[in-house]
Amino acid sequence: MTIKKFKLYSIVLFVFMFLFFSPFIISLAASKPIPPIDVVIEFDKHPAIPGIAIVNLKLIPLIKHSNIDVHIELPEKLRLINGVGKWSGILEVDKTETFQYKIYIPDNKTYGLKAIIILKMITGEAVRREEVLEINPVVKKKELKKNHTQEEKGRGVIEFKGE
Amino acid sequence: MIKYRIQKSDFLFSVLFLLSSFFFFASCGSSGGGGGGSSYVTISGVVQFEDRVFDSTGFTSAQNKAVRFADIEIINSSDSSIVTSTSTDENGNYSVTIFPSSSNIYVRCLTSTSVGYSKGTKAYNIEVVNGNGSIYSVVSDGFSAALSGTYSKNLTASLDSGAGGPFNILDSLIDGTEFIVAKNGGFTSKKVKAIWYDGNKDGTYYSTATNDLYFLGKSTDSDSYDDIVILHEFGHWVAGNFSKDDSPGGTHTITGYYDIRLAWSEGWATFFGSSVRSYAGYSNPEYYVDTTGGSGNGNLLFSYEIKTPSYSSLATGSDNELSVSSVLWNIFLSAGFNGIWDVVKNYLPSTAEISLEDFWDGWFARGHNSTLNPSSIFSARSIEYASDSYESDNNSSQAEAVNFGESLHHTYYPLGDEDWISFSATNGTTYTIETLSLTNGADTHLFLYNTDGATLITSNVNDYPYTDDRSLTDKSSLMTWTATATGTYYVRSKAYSDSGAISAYGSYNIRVQ
Repeated sequence: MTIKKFKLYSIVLFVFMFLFFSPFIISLAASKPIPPIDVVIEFDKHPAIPGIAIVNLKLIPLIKHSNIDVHIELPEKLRLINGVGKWSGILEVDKTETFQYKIYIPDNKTYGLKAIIILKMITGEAVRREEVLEINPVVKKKELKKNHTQEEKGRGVIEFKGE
Repeated sequence: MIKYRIQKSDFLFSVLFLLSSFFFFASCGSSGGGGGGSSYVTISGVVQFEDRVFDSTGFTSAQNKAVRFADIEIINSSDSSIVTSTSTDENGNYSVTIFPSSSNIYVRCLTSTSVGYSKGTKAYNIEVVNGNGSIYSVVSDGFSAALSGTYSKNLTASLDSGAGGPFNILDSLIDGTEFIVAKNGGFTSKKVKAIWYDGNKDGTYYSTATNDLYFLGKSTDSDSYDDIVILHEFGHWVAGNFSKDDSPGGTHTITGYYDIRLAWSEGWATFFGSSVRSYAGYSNPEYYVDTTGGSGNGNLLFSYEIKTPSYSSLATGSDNELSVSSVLWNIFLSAGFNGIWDVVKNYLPSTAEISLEDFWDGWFARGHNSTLNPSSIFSARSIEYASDSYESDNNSSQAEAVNFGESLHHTYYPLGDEDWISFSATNGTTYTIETLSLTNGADTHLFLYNTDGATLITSNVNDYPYTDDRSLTDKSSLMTWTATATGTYYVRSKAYSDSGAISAYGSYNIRVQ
């Protein structure tokens, strides 16, 4: 490959990469505010019912020097096999801390596993977050009448049945 | 000027066309009016969606609400062709008249106002679509309109059906549009396009690249019913289309301190959302509420207030978005929206690196200080756009003498302000001269002068390309210097104003030890 060709290919590649990626870079320019602590609760492993589910609670404090309380609330029929139901301490800012729980699930009924997180700031103020993980959620069927794609001059329309 | 020469044949065709049109409309008129309506079918009804009411604790109830100004289409079931179209009015009512037909038809209400409903100065051009650009709709059952008469077809987009959310986004954007129309005296022909779909994990944001709004549809965070979140993003759209936005972007939390351009952009957007909700008559508009979008009451993700701001001790400075929202909201409560809008629309676009500093300057430049002096509102949030207690200290002869280890609080104000200090140095002793506790976007730059107060010894050059900064992430300044003679030396402090400068004002402490 000649230097001239290499330069040309470099320019083409740059233009392509810029055009392709710039919307993604710019598109985050104005996102919504996020709370001072980010919380995610999710299954690490779904159980064979009856059986034991593994649940991960991920916390990311976004402000420094904050004390955090974590409290897990289980419905009566669920049992915490492993993991700390109540925890207090200081977590490092901008770092993800994962708390793991093993929970016995007795049947196919729908349950809500609630995680309550209280972030106490050094100023004395506090942020309370509640996250609920639905276990065996009931899936509601959406009444989609039909999904017209690319009808009428290229316009797609999704039709839901009115009530 | 281009001249057209009319051919004889053109003229003949024009006459024929006009005559044909006359006969067509005349025949329509005679059968509709004179015939007692016997040849027509009227289809009418009201369209509603299931709205979710919320307060600072999350969702509190659900109630039906009119789908306003939305496109209505009568669709032929056999080939999906549009028989006719209209729009709902402000109460969700619609009515269309068609010829009787044995074909099966149905009514469709879309999450768009692209038909161009207009009423006085109002004109809506809003569209809520999924990730593929398809418009949502709610439809009636099919029916035959073979016999003349009136058919009533009411529609409700319910929450459970999945249609309620997109119609709520449309409703919130109509609230926002109504507000701008009222305050601006008109809107823009640009389309407001919102993208939301179940499962969207891409984020909630306004894209300057596409000029579109994107909303989360995650199972743990769906924003289709988060009215104030929708209006926050619409606030960014308004800034982008009526003013100017220089935010560098990035994630941001309400208790954090960021680039003053980002704090302005986000603070404005939240304030704008609250202003819309105030105008539309919703209760507690000063609350920002973000829910998980889950079914049932509650489901709060987080909420905060902007009047006496939540996390009040952290909501300080022009570099905190909650502080910016609070300042704007309290100006709004005292002086209304018009002055704020005048600055945002008519002053800010002419400035660079837009932040709360520019809003402050614009408030005075546009003469709104005669309505309200906002100083106390700004100072309540520790925003010090005012001279410090050591002024005048703008040259070496006015320099404030500091003791070893003493920290003096200063502000860069007014524009171009310099702060001079002097200190006694002993030959052979090493001194640290530094700025600390920077707030309100301060970016300090230090210069050390000899005992004559005029000969430059050094300036802080620490970190290329930010030659005035302690580090790439710390805009404070640091100089370490060893005296070669005993005497009184001078330090000049000014806001960094070379390439890449963002702030003109700011607060800081200065210390020699």
